[in-house]
Amino acid sequence: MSVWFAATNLAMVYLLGVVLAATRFGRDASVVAAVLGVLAFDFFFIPPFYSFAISDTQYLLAAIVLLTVGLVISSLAAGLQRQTLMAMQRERRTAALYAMTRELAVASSLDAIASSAASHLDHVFDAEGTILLKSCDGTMRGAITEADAKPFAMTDSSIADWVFTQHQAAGFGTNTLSAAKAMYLPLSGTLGIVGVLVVRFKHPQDLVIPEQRQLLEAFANQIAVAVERDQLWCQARDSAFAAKEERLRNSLLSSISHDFRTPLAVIGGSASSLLQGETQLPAGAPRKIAETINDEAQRMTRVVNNILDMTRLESGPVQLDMQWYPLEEIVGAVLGPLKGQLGKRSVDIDIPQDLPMLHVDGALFEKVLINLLENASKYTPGDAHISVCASLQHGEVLVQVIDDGPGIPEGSERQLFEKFYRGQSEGAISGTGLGLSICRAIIEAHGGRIWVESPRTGGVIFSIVLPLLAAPDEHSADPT
Amino acid sequence: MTAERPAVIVVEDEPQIRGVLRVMLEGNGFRCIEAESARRGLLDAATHRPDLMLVDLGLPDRDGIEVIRGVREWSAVPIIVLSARSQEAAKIAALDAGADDYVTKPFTVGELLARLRVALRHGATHGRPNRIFNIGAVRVDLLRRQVFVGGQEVHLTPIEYRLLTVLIQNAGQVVTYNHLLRDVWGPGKVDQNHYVRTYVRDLRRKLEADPARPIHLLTEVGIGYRLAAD
Repeated sequence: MSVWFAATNLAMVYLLGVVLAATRFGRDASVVAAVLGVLAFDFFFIPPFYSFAISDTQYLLAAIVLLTVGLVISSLAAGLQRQTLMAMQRERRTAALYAMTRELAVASSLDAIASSAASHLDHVFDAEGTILLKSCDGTMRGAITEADAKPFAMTDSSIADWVFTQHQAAGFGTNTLSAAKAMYLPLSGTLGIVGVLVVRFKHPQDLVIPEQRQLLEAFANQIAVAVERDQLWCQARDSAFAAKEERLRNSLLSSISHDFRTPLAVIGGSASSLLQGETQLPAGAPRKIAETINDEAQRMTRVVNNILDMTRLESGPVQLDMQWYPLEEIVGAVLGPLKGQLGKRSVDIDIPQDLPMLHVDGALFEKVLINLLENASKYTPGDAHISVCASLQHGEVLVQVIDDGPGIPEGSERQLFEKFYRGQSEGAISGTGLGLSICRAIIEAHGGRIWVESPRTGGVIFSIVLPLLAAPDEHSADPT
Repeated sequence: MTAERPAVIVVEDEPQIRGVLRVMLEGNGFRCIEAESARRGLLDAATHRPDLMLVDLGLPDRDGIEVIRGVREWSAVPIIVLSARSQEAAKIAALDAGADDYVTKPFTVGELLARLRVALRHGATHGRPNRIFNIGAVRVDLLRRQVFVGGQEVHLTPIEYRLLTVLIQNAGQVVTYNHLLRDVWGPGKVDQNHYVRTYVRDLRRKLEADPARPIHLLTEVGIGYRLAAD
């Protein structure tokens, strides 16, 4: 060999071997390679050949340098390898954290947050995770109630309470109450503690690795941020809801104060003039006064009824007493009591004899027709024509209440059904502005639609569409 | 003289409403006995033997329906229910428990007196009407089972006729769907209210001048029907 290479150049080949061993097999292997390389170099290429003896001090120096360089390279390379390994581990952790963060970011509810946290804890740590939140009665409750009932049952709520109040981790793997089966980590958001994360490891020995511990804390932080975000969002929603309620309450109050004050003033004034004594009143006046009191009392009754109806319809899902009614029966029942209000206005009824029966809550559907007809009589001149007609349209029943009054302002078709909206600024025409929103609530509860049109030719058309269901046999067999 | 005035027990917890009812009743030839609770009402019914009872459904101690049931155990005295609006279910329960009729608060004196008179008359005849029943242009010969509208005989199916006779027996008073189903179809057809509605619609088409605007066969939506009296 020495025939072709200078011995010093050959040393480079050995260094290459050391580098390869270091990068490939780590520190120990490369040290062995370096020592073996120097020995082999000495044995084969340094005179006297085939012996470990070194005759020339120059070669001794070369062998020592070779060994030193080999050792340095091996330690550097091994460090590099360890760093790569760590980088890979870090990347895996970052990826795991990222995957969970991404899922938490899109989680739209507490349930979603809790279940995605649980699945990631299971995936990354092979552990069961439960989020506990402070409930309104001060106890710690699972974020998911039904699905997670089992693991929650195994958590210790007194530890959870302690973690929540002390803002410190406790339980397994910590300095406090380390005998517990699970680890309790505080979920600290930006504004304070939001809950407690309970983690139960299936392989507890994993937790000794500090990186795992750090990663778990990072998980807890991300979960805390998500839970806090959800809580803030709920608060924001609640306060927006409260603001809307507040607005409604104000308009209700202003509506009530107007609609009550006027009739109350009239009733009070009328009654006090009756109390003054009949002698001072012209003949026939007491009767007129009594009529006024009566009218105003009825007006107040209507207002109260409307408000009660709206409250009932809004207080939760409406219980409908669905039964089969012929439409003409409900229309007939409505027209009688409205006779006084309709006055000289003519009402045409156009209901086909063979129109199928409607499946509705009779009392509520009656209310819809009463409100629509009252509306028609309130907003039309005394000699107006009103018609109630019905027909079958594309498998649905269309019921229309039409008048030939002045119509409604263009563009107000939708607002008309809003609560407290009044077609004309309040004044001469009494009402709460609730009638049509009651109609809409009732019709929508029936799975139907209601809308209004005001044709250019004048007048108003209120249309109701109800789904047509297969009516039962109309006529019974003869009773036996 | 006072002994001849019909006695009415008013079972109502609101003193203002009792006051108004006393004025209405005494001003129209009735004697008024006030009871402010269900217990008191049951007691008064036994001691005073009234001609009629007005019972409010919302009483502080017990449900008004219990007063009706209690009285019905031993007396057929006419009972009229005073009820608030949107209490259809409670009204039906009261009527099915034995009340004869109801008035919805706020009521007018005209409404109340009309109900009282019908109930008193009904109580006196025990629902047995005369041979001939006249209402508007409609004449019903109950013996011969014939119905005339404006002098022309109208043919009714057996069910329609039976329905009409049940309404005539209770003329002027509300008759619930259950009552009609029981008396016309028999006990097996409860909860088939649409039968009643269908046959009433058919009856109206035969008896009413304008079936969409009935003046005889009146609808009490969600509760039943009332055959207008007189």
